[in-house]
Amino acid sequence: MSIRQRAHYRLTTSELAQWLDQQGDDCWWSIDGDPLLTGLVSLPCPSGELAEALRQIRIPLLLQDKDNNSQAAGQSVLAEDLDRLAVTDNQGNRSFLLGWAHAPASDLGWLLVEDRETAQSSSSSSSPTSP
Amino acid sequence: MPRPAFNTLAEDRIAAIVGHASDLPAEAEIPIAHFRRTSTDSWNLLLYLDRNLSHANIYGTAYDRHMARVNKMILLSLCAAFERFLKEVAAICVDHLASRVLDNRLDTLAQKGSTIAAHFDAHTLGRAMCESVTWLDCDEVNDRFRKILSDVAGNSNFYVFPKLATQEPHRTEWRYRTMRTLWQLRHTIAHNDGVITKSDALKLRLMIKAPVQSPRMICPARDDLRSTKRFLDETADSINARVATRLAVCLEELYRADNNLFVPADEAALLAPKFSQPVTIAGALANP
Repeated sequence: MSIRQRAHYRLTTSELAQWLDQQGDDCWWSIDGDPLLTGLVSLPCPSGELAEALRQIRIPLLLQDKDNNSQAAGQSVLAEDLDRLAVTDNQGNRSFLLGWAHAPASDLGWLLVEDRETAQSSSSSSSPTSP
Repeated sequence: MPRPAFNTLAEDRIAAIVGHASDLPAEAEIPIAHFRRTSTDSWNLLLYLDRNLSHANIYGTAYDRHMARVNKMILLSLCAAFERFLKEVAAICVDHLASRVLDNRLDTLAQKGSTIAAHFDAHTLGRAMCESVTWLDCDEVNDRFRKILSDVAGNSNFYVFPKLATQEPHRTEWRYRTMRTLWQLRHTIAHNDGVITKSDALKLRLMIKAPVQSPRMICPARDDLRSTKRFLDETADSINARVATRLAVCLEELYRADNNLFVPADEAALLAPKFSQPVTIAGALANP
């Protein structure tokens, strides 16, 4: 079942980018299932890189509500709403099920997933510049 | 009761696998995007297993054993995606140069007639020439790109994997060494299912300058895959940008010698999307 057939909100890429910026570059993210973003940026990547890629895309997003019984039907949400809409797994990784608003109705969407393990690994192994 | 013999049924069943294929993703026309998509998909497989198995009631030993195999497969897949990236980038270079040069630069990809014939249906001349050879050796890859991207006098100092600190980009010879080790690990997984043979151990020992035991089964850890992916991502980005720039320089040189060869703005407009980055030829800038 596609996102638009489930309880969902609308979100702009700039709002999602703003929320990612607020998380800081200590947080790393991966995208699972979206060819557009995976073609634009090497993933997993820090918040800032993904935010920059998102700002290049001016297509509205659909965000599935984690509550299946929600009455959400396409209302707009902002960066400040995303903390409460994130799904958190038992390792503390946050995720969102998203889709592009212009995608065909059959589109199942894609996942924005936090990668805390990579963030931890990167903070201990990064060099300031790598030619 | 013994199981019935598979016999000739196997021939049909195995042949049927060829038909079980899907369309290429749209980004397959852009080598760097194609590479990023595949390498990210490989990494996401691990995240997917984490998300879904973390709730499951599983036996730890079986999990560890299966994940060791998955990790090996992912390392292989990352290397395969990188090899494909190299040949796709080389194919673009061939396509944009082949009809504009009379020198022998393409001899570096010399093929037997039967090999070319088998690839005659490939989309482009570049693909026909580049897809049938392997791109798994840093020196061979260096030689091919250096010749394809040489100047009109046949000179070139372009190195995909600089071997010396003095070759450009300076002080990146560590990439050559790292890539060479990675190709060897790929070989061990692809051809011996991960068993480090005596000869593998000898080569690896010389590459990493440390003792390597054999026979041993290689078991890449999660962090090994993370490091491999990050190294290949950064290396692919660097190669993509440098080849695009070098190819533009080659084309500009050809244009200066014969300004009826092509229209620089049109050529730049064709190249920029293929490399997913701005390209300038003879002052004409195009963005992807």
